[in-house]
Amino acid sequence: MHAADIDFFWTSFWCYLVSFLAYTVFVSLKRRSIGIMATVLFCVALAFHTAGLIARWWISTHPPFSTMFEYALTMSWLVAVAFVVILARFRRMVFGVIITPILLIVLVIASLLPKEASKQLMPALQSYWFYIHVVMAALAEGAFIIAAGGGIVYLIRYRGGDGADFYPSRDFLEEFISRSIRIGYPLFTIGALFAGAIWAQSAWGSFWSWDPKETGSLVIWLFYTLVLHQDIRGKWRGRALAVCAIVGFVIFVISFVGNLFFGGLHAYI
Amino acid sequence: MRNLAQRIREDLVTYRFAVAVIAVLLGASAAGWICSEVFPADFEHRRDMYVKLWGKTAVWLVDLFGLYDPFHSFWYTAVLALFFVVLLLCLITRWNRFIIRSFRIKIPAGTKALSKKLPRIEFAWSDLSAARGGGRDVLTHYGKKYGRHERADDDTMQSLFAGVRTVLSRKGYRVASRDGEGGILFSAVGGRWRFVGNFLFHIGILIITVGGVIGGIWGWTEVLYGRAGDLLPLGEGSESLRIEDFRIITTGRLEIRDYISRVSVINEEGNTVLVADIEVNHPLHYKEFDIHQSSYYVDEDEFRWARIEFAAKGRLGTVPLTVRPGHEIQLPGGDAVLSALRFLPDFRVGAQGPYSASATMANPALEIEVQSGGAPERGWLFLHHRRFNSRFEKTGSFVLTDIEPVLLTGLQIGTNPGSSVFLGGIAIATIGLIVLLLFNYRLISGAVGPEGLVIAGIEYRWKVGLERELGRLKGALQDELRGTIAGSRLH
Repeated sequence: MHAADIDFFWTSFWCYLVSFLAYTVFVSLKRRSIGIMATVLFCVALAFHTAGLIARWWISTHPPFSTMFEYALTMSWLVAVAFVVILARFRRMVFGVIITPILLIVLVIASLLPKEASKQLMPALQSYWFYIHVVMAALAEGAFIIAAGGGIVYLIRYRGGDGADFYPSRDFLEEFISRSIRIGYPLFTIGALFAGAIWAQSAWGSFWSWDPKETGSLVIWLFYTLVLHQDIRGKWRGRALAVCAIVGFVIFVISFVGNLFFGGLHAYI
Repeated sequence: MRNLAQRIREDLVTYRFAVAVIAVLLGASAAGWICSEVFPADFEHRRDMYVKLWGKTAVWLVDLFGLYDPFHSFWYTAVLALFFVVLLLCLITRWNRFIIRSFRIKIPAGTKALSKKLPRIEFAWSDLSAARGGGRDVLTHYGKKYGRHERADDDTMQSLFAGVRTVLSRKGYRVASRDGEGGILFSAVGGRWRFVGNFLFHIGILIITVGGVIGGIWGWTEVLYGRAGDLLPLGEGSESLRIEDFRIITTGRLEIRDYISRVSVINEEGNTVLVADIEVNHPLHYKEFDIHQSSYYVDEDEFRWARIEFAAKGRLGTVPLTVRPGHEIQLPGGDAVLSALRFLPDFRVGAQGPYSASATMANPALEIEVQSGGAPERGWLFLHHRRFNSRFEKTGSFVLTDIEPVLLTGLQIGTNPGSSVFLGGIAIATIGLIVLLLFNYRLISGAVGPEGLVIAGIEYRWKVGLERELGRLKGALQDELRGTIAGSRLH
């Protein structure tokens, strides 16, 4: 049973990979049947992903986000669920060609992390703030990842060329990116920063310690604060917004894997 | 003086400047993030070594800009101060705009304000009346063609406007209206609480910053270590903290479940005021002090007992022994005597010989000495790596099976007078953010005239979204107003 979760995750990884290839063929040939096949494969991958998380929860006896491996899997699962919701709402299978490689990147990063399941949460994690902080941060970062996906589609759309009309309109994509960021921003502020600060005060006796992860979160927050202010001003719309969404994703990845190299208070695996 | 205030308001408290300050703070934070990883934290204490490594000029620059501790350097503090000042000035000078936009609805001066450039919906009552029957009304069609307009009278117009108000209210709009230009002018605003949310969020960030500054200036923390029975000072007062006990709770798989320190607060007369357990995530709050379970420490050469399995040379079976520091044990089956010499919680070998690399039980090792006539035999026994145990040729073999170290608890004692302010700021900012998330501001204005209805979208974050919203409104309005038209007469 102890390897069941890993088996499920690997199966989901391969299914996502095949789904990505199918989406690529779909975008190239513009055959709806291939798109439907890719979507079915994606749903199969999501089912295995869900089974893996449930198995992990069962094995470790606590929700699967106490290690970076578990956090990456939970966050990528949220992105996959969000994609299915978007698909059901907007019927735009073309997003699959963007979301699947991002999911694969996160899963590859996860595969490089230690995977041991521990039944015992370390003392600092034994707090209800742990669930609030991590779940909200994962939701927020999932929203930022989706915004980055929208940004990539926008840039492809912006370049135009053959089949540009195949993609959603620029206005739609702009709103999609903006709305994803506007959903992610409050969740990130409340979950990652505020709940994290309150929990840090309870566990470590200080709201803020300039730990690498904390500083990374501050940089992410300031970046999206800047993007939102520019959005309100009517600046950084369109292509600039798309580029910002992608830059935000890059900053997030640096912050996410940073504590593997930098250490600090968040350096538990 | 007034000119200065006006200049500050016009030049410094602009949206553009605020955005520039956020960008500067972002850049400074990113630079600090990089610097804190590039420049080692021990720079201050090993300056000479870094002079040799990097050269004098580089070290001078690192020193000047405090790059080894960038978030406490003068330049980062200056950027934070600038951010604080701009945020404060923005709120002072613009608070009324937030509030006014939340509570006051501006009605357009006339139909000219409903510019054709704005996304809009427009239909004539006659169209609505004609559509009622499902086909083309011949009279209406030819009437329009030859310039005859069908008009609603005042009573009908009032009824139609009541219908418009009903539809808008149902869609979450608040409507204000007045009579003018032969019709009824109105504005409708939805999600107006968004501005209150925005204001609260900014106020919250300001308060959080104030709380952080108060804590930074007047707060302090200190980590003190002690073993059971030790007294730790509680601030500069006459009260103190006595450590009664410290335990590390582990699971069957030796995973750490908790660290618990039992402490007593002792007042100036030496009486116990309270006894409490301090655990990770469960600090003790006593008066202005916050006492947290921070860490623990295992001192070299301090252990209570060690359990050793002894197998005498040439004999079958093992004998369990319990060794205590400073005590000698006679080994069974002979006159050899065993004693413990050194205990290292995290054994390493350096240039100076064995030492403990950390204060944790990462690699516990016990040095023992066996005297059995002649020169004594000395060697190391390892708890986790038994294959590296020393060999004792004369007496037999020894295996270290368990060892109980003397644990020193690390308690972080501190006070933060800004914590209530900080938490208050978080609460206010959180309420503001929830409001921001829930309310979507939109403003439309329109006119109900004798000939028809016109509505223009004035403000919405997203043009396509506004067009969509107007499309939805048009459908709902037509459905609602058809009933009114059916019971009225156009002239």
